[in-house]
Amino acid sequence: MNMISSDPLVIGRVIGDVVDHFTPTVKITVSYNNKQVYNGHEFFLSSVTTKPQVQIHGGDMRSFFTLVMTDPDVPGPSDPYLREHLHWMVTDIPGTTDATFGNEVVEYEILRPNIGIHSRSEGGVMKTATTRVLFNSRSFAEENELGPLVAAVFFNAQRETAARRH
Amino acid sequence: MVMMASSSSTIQSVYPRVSGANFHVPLSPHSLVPIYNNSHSFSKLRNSIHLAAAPLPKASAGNGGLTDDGVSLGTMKLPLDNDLQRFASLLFQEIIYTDEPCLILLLCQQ
Repeated sequence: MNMISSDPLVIGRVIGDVVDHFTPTVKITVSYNNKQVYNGHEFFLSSVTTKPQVQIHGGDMRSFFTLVMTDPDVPGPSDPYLREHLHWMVTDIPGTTDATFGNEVVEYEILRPNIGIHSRSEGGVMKTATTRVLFNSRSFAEENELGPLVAAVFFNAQRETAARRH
Repeated sequence: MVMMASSSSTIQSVYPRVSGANFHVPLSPHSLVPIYNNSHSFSKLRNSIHLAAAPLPKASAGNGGLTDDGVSLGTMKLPLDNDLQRFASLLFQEIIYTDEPCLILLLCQQ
């Protein structure tokens, strides 16, 4: 019997295009200026210019997590030949805390994507340098021997004046 | 002799304005035909002028063909006075407009 998945991560092609199938085991809440992010929701670009608050509700203080924010639709969804673009990376986040307790190895940057190597490889979990352009979440997790994927959330950011000119 | 003199006298009396140089050429009523021929020659000359004028429109058309009203850019032709810088800017903006991030946050156990 064919089952149509109702998982927004499957519908949104996060599972498939970016990551393999996984079962979320940790709850996270992401918010911009106290506005929580839900899968598939839309935000204006102007409201996501500063880094979000990412709260990890699972685990304990002795477990650590790595947070990655990427855009798989670069330069556009019809032909994402620059997939993925790395916007943010924080490592060594203790469980039950938020991203501010971790080590920001790639600065948060949404509006002005910068090309080049922007990560520090000394210390922490990262073993190889990485770039923002043509980032690959699967490869990164494998190369740095990260554990399983425990949570994911995706949303769209659009411009206020996104109407096309004719 | 008398007959010769009589003929000469007769001619002079009939065409009094003919000069003596034409004395040896007997003029007859048929001499009107060359005048018609001359008219025909003038007609030919006018026709020639007309034919000479005919290439002018053709040359003008040729000049018109040389005056291109745009610059070919692949499948799009733009007028010469187009603001190419603005056009490029619009293309760039178009690319920007398509770049609306779909942001994914992934959390991995370490």
